[in-house]
Amino acid sequence: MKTEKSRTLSALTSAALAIPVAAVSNHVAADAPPTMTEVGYRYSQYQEDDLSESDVFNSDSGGSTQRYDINIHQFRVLAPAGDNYSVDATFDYETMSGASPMGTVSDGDGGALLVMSGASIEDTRMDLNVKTTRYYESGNASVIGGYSTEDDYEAFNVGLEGEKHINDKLTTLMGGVGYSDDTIEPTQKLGAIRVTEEDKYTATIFAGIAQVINAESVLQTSINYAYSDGYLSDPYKLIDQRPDSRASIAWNTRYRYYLGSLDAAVHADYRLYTDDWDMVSHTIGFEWHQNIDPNLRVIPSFRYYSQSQADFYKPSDMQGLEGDQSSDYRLSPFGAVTFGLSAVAHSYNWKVIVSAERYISGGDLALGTVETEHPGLLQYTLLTVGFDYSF
Amino acid sequence: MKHNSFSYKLTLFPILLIAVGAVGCAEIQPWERGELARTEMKWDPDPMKSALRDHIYFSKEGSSGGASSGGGGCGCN
Repeated sequence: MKTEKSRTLSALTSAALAIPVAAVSNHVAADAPPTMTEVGYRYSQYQEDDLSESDVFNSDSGGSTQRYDINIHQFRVLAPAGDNYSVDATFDYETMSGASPMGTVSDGDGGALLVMSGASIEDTRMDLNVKTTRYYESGNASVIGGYSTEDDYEAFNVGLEGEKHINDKLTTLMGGVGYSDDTIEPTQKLGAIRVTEEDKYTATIFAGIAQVINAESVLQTSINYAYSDGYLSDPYKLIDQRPDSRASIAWNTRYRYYLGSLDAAVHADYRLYTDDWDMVSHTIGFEWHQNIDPNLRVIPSFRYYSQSQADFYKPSDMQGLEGDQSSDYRLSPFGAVTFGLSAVAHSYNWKVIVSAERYISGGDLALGTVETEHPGLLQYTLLTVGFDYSF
Repeated sequence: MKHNSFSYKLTLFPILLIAVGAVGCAEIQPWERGELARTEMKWDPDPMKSALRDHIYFSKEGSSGGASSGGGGCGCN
Protein backbone atom coordinates (compact mmCIF):
# COMPACT_ATOMS: atom_id res chain seq x y z
CA MET A 1 0.00 0.00 0.00
CA LYS A 2 1.36 3.37 -0.99
CA THR A 3 1.92 6.02 1.61
CA GLU A 4 0.92 9.68 1.11
CA LYS A 5 4.62 10.59 0.80
CA SER A 6 5.35 8.02 -1.91
CA ARG A 7 2.25 9.07 -3.87
CA THR A 8 3.48 12.67 -3.83
CA LEU A 9 6.94 11.62 -4.93
CA SER A 10 5.46 9.50 -7.70
CA ALA A 11 3.31 12.40 -8.93
CA LEU A 12 6.29 14.75 -8.93
CA THR A 13 8.43 12.23 -10.81
CA SER A 14 5.71 11.77 -13.44
CA ALA A 15 5.35 15.51 -13.86
CA ALA A 16 9.11 15.94 -14.26
CA LEU A 17 9.27 13.19 -16.86
CA ALA A 18 6.43 14.82 -18.78
CA ILE A 19 8.49 17.97 -19.39
CA PRO A 20 9.90 17.72 -22.89
CA VAL A 21 13.68 17.61 -23.07
CA ALA A 22 13.70 20.69 -25.27
CA ALA A 23 11.82 22.64 -22.63
CA VAL A 24 14.79 22.42 -20.30
CA SER A 25 16.99 24.16 -22.82
CA ASN A 26 15.09 26.72 -24.81
CA HIS A 27 12.52 26.94 -27.53
CA VAL A 28 14.55 29.54 -29.42
CA ALA A 29 16.98 26.80 -30.49
CA ALA A 30 17.88 23.46 -29.03
CA ASP A 31 21.64 23.08 -28.79
CA ALA A 32 21.73 19.41 -29.53
CA PRO A 33 21.17 17.34 -32.64
CA PRO A 34 17.76 15.71 -33.01
CA THR A 35 17.57 12.43 -31.12
CA MET A 36 15.69 10.68 -33.92
CA THR A 37 15.89 10.62 -37.71
CA GLU A 38 12.93 12.32 -39.37
CA VAL A 39 11.79 11.71 -42.91
CA GLY A 40 9.12 13.81 -44.60
CA TYR A 41 7.22 13.98 -47.86
CA ARG A 42 4.81 16.56 -49.29
CA TYR A 43 2.85 16.47 -52.51
CA SER A 44 1.42 19.80 -53.68
CA GLN A 45 -0.68 20.94 -56.59
CA TYR A 46 -0.26 24.57 -57.54
CA GLN A 47 -2.83 25.86 -60.02
CA GLU A 48 -3.12 29.38 -61.41
CA ASP A 49 -6.55 30.56 -62.56
CA ASP A 50 -7.09 30.92 -66.31
CA LEU A 51 -7.09 34.40 -67.77
CA SER A 52 -10.15 36.04 -69.23
CA GLU A 53 -10.05 36.14 -73.06
CA SER A 54 -10.85 39.84 -72.92
CA ASP A 55 -7.51 40.45 -71.12
CA VAL A 56 -5.45 38.64 -73.78
CA PHE A 57 -4.54 40.62 -76.91
CA ASN A 58 -3.57 37.58 -78.99
CA SER A 59 -6.16 35.04 -77.80
CA ASP A 60 -7.28 34.58 -81.45
CA SER A 61 -3.76 33.99 -82.72
CA GLY A 62 -2.23 31.36 -80.48
CA GLY A 63 -1.96 33.28 -77.20
CA SER A 64 -3.10 31.01 -74.39
CA THR A 65 -5.43 31.97 -71.55
CA GLN A 66 -4.21 29.02 -69.52
CA ARG A 67 -1.49 29.73 -66.97
CA TYR A 68 0.78 27.49 -64.92
CA ASP A 69 -0.10 24.22 -63.25
CA ILE A 70 2.74 22.81 -61.16
CA ASN A 71 3.01 19.48 -59.35
CA ILE A 72 5.56 19.51 -56.54
CA HIS A 73 7.09 16.58 -54.69
CA GLN A 74 9.16 17.50 -51.63
CA PHE A 75 11.36 15.03 -49.75
CA ARG A 76 13.25 15.70 -46.54
CA VAL A 77 15.60 13.80 -44.22
CA LEU A 78 16.76 15.29 -40.92
CA ALA A 79 19.23 13.01 -39.17
CA PRO A 80 21.65 13.21 -36.24
CA ALA A 81 25.28 12.57 -37.18
CA GLY A 82 27.55 11.69 -34.28
CA ASP A 83 27.13 13.47 -30.96
CA ASN A 84 27.23 17.04 -32.20
CA TYR A 85 26.06 17.18 -35.80
CA SER A 86 22.88 16.94 -37.83
CA VAL A 87 22.24 16.75 -41.56
CA ASP A 88 19.11 18.27 -43.04
CA ALA A 89 18.62 17.37 -46.71
CA THR A 90 15.72 18.38 -48.93
CA PHE A 91 14.96 17.47 -52.51
CA ASP A 92 12.17 19.03 -54.58
CA TYR A 93 10.91 17.73 -57.90
CA GLU A 94 8.53 19.98 -59.84
CA THR A 95 6.82 19.52 -63.19
CA MET A 96 5.10 22.52 -64.71
CA SER A 97 3.02 23.25 -67.79
CA GLY A 98 1.09 26.24 -69.07
CA ALA A 99 1.62 29.67 -70.57
CA SER A 100 3.31 32.87 -69.51
CA PRO A 101 2.85 36.59 -70.30
CA MET A 102 5.35 37.80 -72.94
CA GLY A 103 4.41 41.45 -72.83
CA THR A 104 1.60 43.97 -72.76
CA VAL A 105 0.05 46.38 -75.25
CA SER A 106 -2.09 49.41 -74.58
CA ASP A 107 -5.82 48.81 -75.00
CA GLY A 108 -6.19 52.43 -76.18
CA ASP A 109 -8.34 53.28 -73.19
CA GLY A 110 -5.76 53.75 -70.43
CA GLY A 111 -5.52 50.03 -69.71
CA ALA A 112 -3.33 47.19 -70.98
CA LEU A 113 -3.80 43.82 -72.64
CA LEU A 114 -1.55 40.79 -72.26
CA VAL A 115 0.44 39.19 -75.03
CA MET A 116 0.60 35.52 -74.03
CA SER A 117 2.81 32.65 -75.13
CA GLY A 118 1.24 29.48 -76.51
CA ALA A 119 0.20 26.83 -73.99
CA SER A 120 3.22 24.73 -74.84
CA ILE A 121 5.67 25.58 -72.08
CA GLU A 122 6.70 22.51 -70.12
CA ASP A 123 9.56 22.32 -67.67
CA THR A 124 10.95 20.20 -64.87
CA ARG A 125 12.77 21.63 -61.89
CA MET A 126 14.90 19.77 -59.35
CA ASP A 127 16.31 21.39 -56.25
CA LEU A 128 18.68 19.73 -53.76
CA ASN A 129 19.68 21.45 -50.52
CA VAL A 130 21.88 20.10 -47.73
CA LYS A 131 22.40 21.83 -44.41
CA THR A 132 24.94 20.43 -41.95
CA THR A 133 24.77 21.83 -38.42
CA ARG A 134 27.32 21.63 -35.60
CA TYR A 135 25.90 22.11 -32.09
CA TYR A 136 27.81 23.81 -29.29
CA GLU A 137 27.14 24.44 -25.60
CA SER A 138 25.31 27.67 -26.32
CA GLY A 139 24.81 27.90 -30.06
CA ASN A 140 25.14 26.23 -33.39
CA ALA A 141 26.73 26.77 -36.81
CA SER A 142 25.54 25.53 -40.20
CA VAL A 143 27.03 25.08 -43.64
CA ILE A 144 24.54 25.06 -46.50
CA GLY A 145 24.95 23.94 -50.09
CA GLY A 146 22.35 23.75 -52.84
CA TYR A 147 21.91 23.05 -56.52
CA SER A 148 18.83 23.48 -58.71
CA THR A 149 18.29 22.78 -62.37
CA GLU A 150 15.60 23.41 -64.97
CA ASP A 151 15.57 22.99 -68.76
CA ASP A 152 16.85 26.56 -69.14
CA TYR A 153 18.16 27.50 -65.69
CA GLU A 154 20.84 26.36 -63.27
CA ALA A 155 21.72 27.69 -59.81
CA PHE A 156 24.38 26.88 -57.22
CA ASN A 157 24.16 28.31 -53.74
CA VAL A 158 26.21 28.14 -50.55
CA GLY A 159 25.65 29.63 -47.12
CA LEU A 160 26.96 29.89 -43.57
CA GLU A 161 24.60 30.51 -40.64
CA GLY A 162 25.03 30.60 -36.89
CA GLU A 163 23.22 31.20 -33.61
CA LYS A 164 24.60 32.19 -30.21
CA HIS A 165 22.54 32.06 -27.02
CA ILE A 166 23.25 34.59 -24.31
CA ASN A 167 21.55 35.98 -21.24
CA ASP A 168 20.77 32.56 -19.74
CA LYS A 169 19.45 31.49 -23.16
CA LEU A 170 16.74 34.13 -23.06
CA THR A 171 18.36 35.94 -25.98
CA THR A 172 19.62 34.46 -29.23
CA LEU A 173 21.83 36.28 -31.70
CA MET A 174 21.81 34.96 -35.27
CA GLY A 175 23.48 35.75 -38.53
CA GLY A 176 24.66 34.38 -41.82
CA VAL A 177 25.94 34.93 -45.33
CA GLY A 178 24.90 33.35 -48.61
CA TYR A 179 25.99 33.31 -52.23
CA SER A 180 24.15 32.13 -55.34
CA ASP A 181 25.46 31.76 -58.88
CA ASP A 182 22.72 31.43 -61.52
CA THR A 183 22.88 30.76 -65.26
CA ILE A 184 20.04 31.06 -67.75
CA GLU A 185 20.09 29.51 -71.22
CA PRO A 186 16.74 30.43 -72.77
CA THR A 187 14.93 27.99 -75.00
CA GLN A 188 15.27 29.42 -78.50
CA LYS A 189 12.30 29.96 -80.77
CA LEU A 190 12.24 30.70 -84.50
CA GLY A 191 11.58 34.39 -85.05
CA ALA A 192 12.32 35.41 -81.45
CA ILE A 193 15.53 37.25 -80.62
CA ARG A 194 16.76 35.92 -77.28
CA VAL A 195 20.05 35.91 -75.44
CA THR A 196 21.85 32.57 -75.57
CA GLU A 197 23.41 32.41 -72.09
CA GLU A 198 23.52 34.91 -69.24
CA ASP A 199 24.66 34.85 -65.62
CA LYS A 200 23.91 36.59 -62.37
CA TYR A 201 25.06 36.25 -58.79
CA THR A 202 23.40 37.16 -55.53
CA ALA A 203 25.16 37.79 -52.22
CA THR A 204 23.13 37.86 -49.00
CA ILE A 205 23.93 38.80 -45.43
CA PHE A 206 21.57 38.78 -42.46
CA ALA A 207 21.66 39.40 -38.72
CA GLY A 208 18.95 39.07 -36.11
CA ILE A 209 18.01 38.74 -32.47
CA ALA A 210 15.38 36.61 -30.75
CA GLN A 211 14.16 37.35 -27.24
CA VAL A 212 12.10 35.31 -24.80
CA ILE A 213 9.67 37.90 -23.46
CA ASN A 214 7.89 35.74 -20.88
CA ALA A 215 6.83 32.12 -20.38
CA GLU A 216 4.32 32.43 -23.22
CA SER A 217 5.90 34.63 -25.88
CA VAL A 218 9.01 35.16 -28.01
CA LEU A 219 9.97 37.83 -30.50
CA GLN A 220 12.52 37.78 -33.31
CA THR A 221 13.66 40.59 -35.55
CA SER A 222 16.23 40.47 -38.33
CA ILE A 223 17.70 42.48 -41.16
CA ASN A 224 18.55 40.91 -44.51
CA TYR A 225 20.60 42.65 -47.20
CA ALA A 226 20.84 41.16 -50.69
CA TYR A 227 22.79 42.31 -53.72
CA SER A 228 22.28 40.84 -57.21
CA ASP A 229 24.54 41.56 -60.15
CA GLY A 230 24.33 40.40 -63.77
CA TYR A 231 21.47 39.58 -66.10
CA LEU A 232 18.26 40.39 -64.18
CA SER A 233 15.93 40.74 -67.18
CA ASP A 234 13.42 38.20 -68.45
CA PRO A 235 14.61 36.77 -71.81
CA TYR A 236 11.15 35.48 -72.73
CA LYS A 237 9.52 38.92 -72.73
CA LEU A 238 9.12 40.80 -76.03
CA ILE A 239 10.64 43.91 -74.44
CA ASP A 240 12.38 43.69 -71.06
CA GLN A 241 15.46 45.57 -70.01
CA ARG A 242 16.25 45.90 -66.32
CA PRO A 243 19.21 47.37 -64.47
CA ASP A 244 22.15 44.97 -64.11
CA SER A 245 22.17 45.18 -60.32
CA ARG A 246 19.67 45.24 -57.49
CA ALA A 247 20.26 45.95 -53.80
CA SER A 248 17.50 45.22 -51.30
CA ILE A 249 16.86 45.32 -47.56
CA ALA A 250 14.21 43.21 -45.84
CA TRP A 251 13.33 43.73 -42.18
CA ASN A 252 11.51 40.75 -40.70
CA THR A 253 9.82 40.64 -37.31
CA ARG A 254 8.18 37.50 -35.98
CA TYR A 255 6.17 36.97 -32.81
CA ARG A 256 4.90 33.77 -31.20
CA TYR A 257 2.41 33.73 -28.33
CA TYR A 258 0.97 30.70 -26.55
CA LEU A 259 -2.57 31.10 -25.27
CA GLY A 260 -2.82 28.56 -22.45
CA SER A 261 -6.53 29.06 -21.84
CA LEU A 262 -7.31 28.13 -25.46
CA ASP A 263 -4.38 25.73 -26.00
CA ALA A 264 -3.44 27.68 -29.13
CA ALA A 265 -0.35 29.41 -30.50
CA VAL A 266 -0.58 32.70 -32.38
CA HIS A 267 2.01 33.56 -35.04
CA ALA A 268 2.28 37.18 -36.21
CA ASP A 269 4.91 38.18 -38.80
CA TYR A 270 5.73 41.45 -40.52
CA ARG A 271 8.23 42.26 -43.26
CA LEU A 272 9.22 45.62 -44.62
CA TYR A 273 11.12 45.50 -47.90
CA THR A 274 12.77 48.23 -49.92
CA ASP A 275 15.26 48.24 -52.80
CA ASP A 276 17.11 50.49 -55.22
CA TRP A 277 14.54 49.78 -57.95
CA ASP A 278 12.34 52.03 -55.80
CA MET A 279 10.11 49.16 -54.76
CA VAL A 280 8.64 49.07 -51.26
CA SER A 281 6.56 46.20 -49.92
CA HIS A 282 4.74 45.26 -46.74
CA THR A 283 3.92 41.69 -45.75
CA ILE A 284 1.80 40.76 -42.75
CA GLY A 285 1.13 37.16 -41.76
CA PHE A 286 -1.07 35.58 -39.09
CA GLU A 287 -1.46 31.94 -38.16
CA TRP A 288 -3.61 30.44 -35.43
CA HIS A 289 -2.35 26.99 -34.34
CA GLN A 290 -5.33 25.53 -32.50
CA ASN A 291 -4.96 22.22 -30.67
CA ILE A 292 -8.26 20.37 -30.96
CA ASP A 293 -7.11 17.34 -28.97
CA PRO A 294 -3.68 15.85 -28.13
CA ASN A 295 -3.37 14.42 -31.65
CA LEU A 296 -4.96 17.06 -33.86
CA ARG A 297 -4.08 20.67 -34.66
CA VAL A 298 -5.96 22.98 -37.03
CA ILE A 299 -4.23 26.06 -38.46
CA PRO A 300 -6.13 28.85 -40.21
CA SER A 301 -3.82 31.47 -41.73
CA PHE A 302 -3.98 34.85 -43.40
CA ARG A 303 -1.34 36.84 -45.27
CA TYR A 304 -1.52 40.33 -46.69
CA TYR A 305 1.02 41.69 -49.17
CA SER A 306 1.34 45.05 -50.91
CA GLN A 307 4.09 46.34 -53.20
CA SER A 308 4.75 49.55 -55.04
CA GLN A 309 6.05 49.43 -58.61
CA ALA A 310 9.68 49.33 -59.75
CA ASP A 311 10.73 52.73 -61.05
CA PHE A 312 11.23 51.47 -64.65
CA TYR A 313 7.94 49.54 -64.76
CA LYS A 314 5.67 50.40 -67.71
CA PRO A 315 2.02 49.26 -67.82
CA SER A 316 2.44 48.56 -71.54
CA ASP A 317 5.55 47.87 -73.62
CA MET A 318 6.97 50.92 -75.40
CA GLN A 319 8.81 50.18 -78.66
CA GLY A 320 11.88 52.32 -79.24
CA LEU A 321 12.08 53.67 -75.69
CA GLU A 322 15.66 54.25 -74.53
CA GLY A 323 16.76 52.83 -71.18
CA ASP A 324 15.27 50.32 -68.78
CA GLN A 325 11.68 49.17 -69.01
CA SER A 326 9.62 46.13 -68.05
CA SER A 327 5.90 45.35 -68.08
CA ASP A 328 6.32 42.27 -65.84
CA TYR A 329 3.32 42.02 -63.48
CA ARG A 330 5.78 41.19 -60.65
CA LEU A 331 7.18 44.70 -60.93
CA SER A 332 3.73 46.34 -61.08
CA PRO A 333 1.93 47.88 -58.11
CA PHE A 334 -0.51 45.45 -56.48
CA GLY A 335 -1.76 43.91 -53.27
CA ALA A 336 -2.54 40.29 -52.46
CA VAL A 337 -4.22 38.19 -49.79
CA THR A 338 -3.73 34.50 -49.00
CA PHE A 339 -6.24 32.49 -46.98
CA GLY A 340 -5.09 29.11 -45.73
CA LEU A 341 -6.33 26.19 -43.69
CA SER A 342 -4.18 23.26 -42.53
CA ALA A 343 -4.81 20.24 -40.35
CA VAL A 344 -2.03 18.26 -38.66
CA ALA A 345 -2.79 14.84 -37.15
CA HIS A 346 0.18 13.75 -35.03
CA SER A 347 1.48 11.18 -32.62
CA TYR A 348 4.89 10.87 -30.93
CA ASN A 349 6.65 9.70 -34.11
CA TRP A 350 4.38 10.52 -37.05
CA LYS A 351 2.49 13.42 -38.52
CA VAL A 352 -0.02 13.71 -41.38
CA ILE A 353 -0.59 17.12 -42.96
CA VAL A 354 -3.40 18.37 -45.21
CA SER A 355 -3.44 21.98 -46.33
CA ALA A 356 -5.23 24.33 -48.75
CA GLU A 357 -4.40 27.93 -49.69
CA ARG A 358 -6.04 30.49 -51.93
CA TYR A 359 -4.10 33.51 -53.24
CA ILE A 360 -5.84 36.54 -54.74
CA SER A 361 -4.04 39.61 -56.07
CA GLY A 362 -5.28 42.87 -57.54
CA GLY A 363 -4.64 46.57 -57.89
CA ASP A 364 -7.46 47.41 -55.48
CA LEU A 365 -5.77 45.34 -52.75
CA ALA A 366 -2.67 47.58 -52.76
CA LEU A 367 -2.06 50.10 -49.96
CA GLY A 368 -1.91 53.03 -52.38
CA THR A 369 -3.97 53.87 -55.45
CA VAL A 370 -3.16 51.89 -58.58
CA GLU A 371 -3.99 53.76 -61.77
CA THR A 372 -3.53 50.89 -64.20
CA GLU A 373 -3.97 47.39 -62.83
CA HIS A 374 -1.79 44.83 -64.58
CA PRO A 375 -4.04 42.33 -66.42
CA GLY A 376 -1.65 39.47 -65.58
CA LEU A 377 -2.02 39.58 -61.78
CA LEU A 378 -2.30 36.10 -60.34
CA GLN A 379 -4.90 34.08 -58.52
CA TYR A 380 -3.91 30.56 -57.51
CA THR A 381 -4.86 27.57 -55.38
CA LEU A 382 -2.31 25.44 -53.54
CA LEU A 383 -3.26 22.03 -52.15
CA THR A 384 -0.82 19.93 -50.10
CA VAL A 385 -0.83 16.49 -48.46
CA GLY A 386 2.12 14.92 -46.70
CA PHE A 387 3.62 13.15 -43.71
CA ASP A 388 6.60 13.16 -41.35
CA TYR A 389 7.88 10.00 -39.66
CA SER A 390 10.55 9.72 -36.96
CA PHE A 391 12.49 6.58 -36.00
CA MET B 1 2.19 54.14 -56.63
CA LYS B 2 4.29 55.26 -53.69
CA HIS B 3 3.89 54.70 -50.01
CA ASN B 4 7.36 55.52 -48.78
CA SER B 5 6.30 57.79 -45.92
CA PHE B 6 4.06 55.01 -44.69
CA SER B 7 7.04 52.65 -44.90
CA TYR B 8 9.25 54.82 -42.74
CA LYS B 9 6.56 55.00 -40.10
CA LEU B 10 6.26 51.25 -40.19
CA THR B 11 10.03 50.91 -39.86
CA LEU B 12 9.53 52.06 -36.29
CA PHE B 13 7.24 49.14 -35.60
CA PRO B 14 9.94 46.45 -35.07
CA ILE B 15 12.04 48.87 -33.01
CA LEU B 16 9.07 49.53 -30.77
CA LEU B 17 8.36 45.83 -30.43
CA ILE B 18 11.92 45.11 -29.33
CA ALA B 19 11.91 48.06 -26.93
CA VAL B 20 8.66 46.91 -25.34
CA GLY B 21 9.96 43.34 -25.31
CA ALA B 22 13.24 44.28 -23.62
CA VAL B 23 11.52 46.35 -20.94
CA GLY B 24 8.89 43.69 -20.39
CA CYS B 25 11.30 40.75 -20.11
CA ALA B 26 11.22 39.04 -16.77
CA GLU B 27 13.52 36.36 -15.44
CA ILE B 28 12.19 33.14 -16.96
CA GLN B 29 13.61 30.01 -15.38
CA PRO B 30 14.38 27.06 -17.66
CA TRP B 31 11.56 24.99 -16.13
CA GLU B 32 9.12 27.79 -16.93
CA ARG B 33 9.83 27.58 -20.66
CA GLY B 34 7.78 24.47 -21.40
CA GLU B 35 5.13 26.26 -23.44
CA LEU B 36 7.83 27.88 -25.59
CA ALA B 37 9.18 24.43 -26.49
CA ARG B 38 5.90 23.36 -28.10
CA THR B 39 6.05 22.44 -31.79
CA GLU B 40 3.39 25.02 -32.65
CA MET B 41 5.54 27.74 -31.02
CA LYS B 42 8.53 27.19 -33.33
CA TRP B 43 9.46 29.89 -35.80
CA ASP B 44 8.75 27.35 -38.56
CA PRO B 45 6.71 24.41 -37.30
CA ASP B 46 6.65 22.94 -40.82
CA PRO B 47 9.88 23.83 -42.68
CA MET B 48 8.80 22.09 -45.91
CA LYS B 49 5.60 24.10 -46.03
CA SER B 50 7.48 27.35 -45.34
CA ALA B 51 10.05 26.51 -48.02
CA LEU B 52 7.39 25.93 -50.68
CA ARG B 53 5.50 29.08 -49.73
CA ASP B 54 8.69 31.15 -49.83
CA HIS B 55 9.59 29.70 -53.23
CA ILE B 56 6.16 30.58 -54.66
CA TYR B 57 6.17 34.12 -53.27
CA PHE B 58 9.76 34.59 -54.45
CA SER B 59 8.70 33.52 -57.96
CA LYS B 60 5.43 35.42 -58.20
CA GLU B 61 6.00 38.66 -56.32
CA GLY B 62 8.49 41.50 -56.70
CA SER B 63 10.16 41.29 -53.30
CA SER B 64 11.67 38.63 -51.05
CA GLY B 65 14.05 38.09 -48.13
CA GLY B 66 13.93 36.43 -44.72
CA ALA B 67 16.06 35.42 -41.76
CA SER B 68 18.22 33.05 -43.77
CA SER B 69 21.19 33.01 -46.12
CA GLY B 70 18.77 32.42 -49.01
CA GLY B 71 18.95 29.90 -51.83
CA GLY B 72 19.41 29.83 -55.56
CA GLY B 73 17.10 31.59 -57.97
CA CYS B 74 14.84 30.02 -60.54
CA GLY B 75 13.68 30.67 -64.08
CA CYS B 76 10.08 30.79 -62.86
CA ASN B 77 7.66 32.89 -64.87
